[in-house]
Amino acid sequence: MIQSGLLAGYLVLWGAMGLAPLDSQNWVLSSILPLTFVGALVFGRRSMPLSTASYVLIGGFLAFHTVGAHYTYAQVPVGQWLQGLLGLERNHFDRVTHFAFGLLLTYPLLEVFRRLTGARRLLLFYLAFMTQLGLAGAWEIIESVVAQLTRPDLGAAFLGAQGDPWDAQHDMLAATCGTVVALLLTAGWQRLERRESGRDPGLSEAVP
Amino acid sequence: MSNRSTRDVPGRRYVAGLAALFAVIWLLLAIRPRHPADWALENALVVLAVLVLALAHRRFALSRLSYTLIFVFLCFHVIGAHYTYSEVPYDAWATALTGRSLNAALGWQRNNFDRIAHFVYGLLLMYPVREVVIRVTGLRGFWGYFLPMDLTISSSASYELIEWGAAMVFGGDLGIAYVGSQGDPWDAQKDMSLAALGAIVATAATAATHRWRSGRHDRLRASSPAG
Repeated sequence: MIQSGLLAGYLVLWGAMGLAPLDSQNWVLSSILPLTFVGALVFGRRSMPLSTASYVLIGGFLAFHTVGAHYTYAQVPVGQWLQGLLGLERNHFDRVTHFAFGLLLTYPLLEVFRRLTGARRLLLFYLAFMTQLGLAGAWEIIESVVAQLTRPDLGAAFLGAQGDPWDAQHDMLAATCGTVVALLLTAGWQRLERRESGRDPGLSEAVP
Repeated sequence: MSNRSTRDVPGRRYVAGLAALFAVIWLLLAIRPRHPADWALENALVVLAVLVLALAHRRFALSRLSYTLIFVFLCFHVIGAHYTYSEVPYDAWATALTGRSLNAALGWQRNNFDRIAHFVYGLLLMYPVREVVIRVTGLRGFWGYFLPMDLTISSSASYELIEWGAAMVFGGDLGIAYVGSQGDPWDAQKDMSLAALGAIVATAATAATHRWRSGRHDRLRASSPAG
C-alpha cells in the first residue's frame, strides 16, 4: 500500500517536473537512470522485496534527483537561495544530492547485501561503504561520458561541474560523507534495537 | 590449518624469493628518483601494502598466483614512482626496442604510463582481492565474482580521493606531480574507468578459467568407471 503510494507520488512528481524542464535534452538524459531504477524496483518487488523504510529512502533520493534534473542542478532555486545565504561560489544543490545519495541509499543497499550475500556486521558495512563509493565513482564516469558526447565544446566547464576542476572528487567525497553518516545512524539504531529487544534487529531475512 | 607453523605455509620459499626480488628492485629504483618528494609520497602506500602483506602472511597466506600478481603491480608502481608517473620514459624504451614511438603509433598526446598502471591495478589486483573475499565470506557463484570486482573498482575511486586529498595538503608542484593529471580535466574519470575495465577483464578471465577447469573435472569424473 505504502509502496503503491510512493510509486504514484514519484510518478506525479516526475510528470510535473517533466513539464517544461529548463533543458529538455538534459532532462531526458537525467531521467533514464531513475526510471530504470523504479522499473527494477517494481519488477523486483516479489523476488527482492525491501522494507518500507528502504522504499521511502529511495523515493526521497529520487525526488532530489528529479527536482535537480528539472532545473539542470545548477539553477535549483533552493540551491540558489543557499548560495546567496552562505555566499557560495556555485549552486551546491548537486553536492547536496550526492550527499543524499550516500545518506539515503546506503540503508537499502545494506538490506540487499544482507539478503543476497549473508554478510553481517562489520563486513556488511564495509561492503556497503565500498560499493557506495564505487557507485559514486561510476556516476562521475557516466556524467563525464555524457558531457563529452553531448557538449564536447564545454570540456571541464560543462553544466554539472560549474567550473570546479575537482568536481568529481568533491562529489565523491559528498557521497562518502553521506554514506558514513547513514552507516553510523544504522549502527546506532541497531544497537538501540538490540538493547530493547535482545534480538539481532533489522536488515533481517524476514522483511515483509 | 590454524596450527600450521610458519615453515609449512605453502609456497613460503617462493614468496620469500618474490619479496627478496622486490626488495632489490625497490632499492635500485630508490637510487636518485627524479623527484624525491613525489617518490616518497608514492611509496607511502607501497610501504603500507608490504607491511600488511608481511604481517598477514603467517595467518592469512595468499596463493602464489596472488603474490605474483601483487608483485607485478608493485613493480609497475615503483617504476612510476622512480620516474614520476608523468615522466616515465616508456616511449623512449619502445623507440629503442622497436624503432617506433609507442605514443605516435597509438596517437597518444600525453604520457600514459599512469593510465596503464590504473588498468594494471584492476587487472592484477582483482584476483588477490577475490581470494581474500572468498575466504572471509565463503561466498560462491555470482557474488564471489561480483563483490571482488566491486571492491577493486571502489578502491580505485577511493584512491582518486586520497590522491586529491594529498594534492590539497601538499599543494604546489608536488601536488601536481602526485595527481599526475597532466592537465586532463577528466583524469579521475578516466583513471577509474581503466581500473574498472581491468577488474572486469580479470573477472571474466577468472570465471572463464574456472568454468573450463570444472568442465574438464566433470568430464574426467564422467569418464572414470566408478564415481
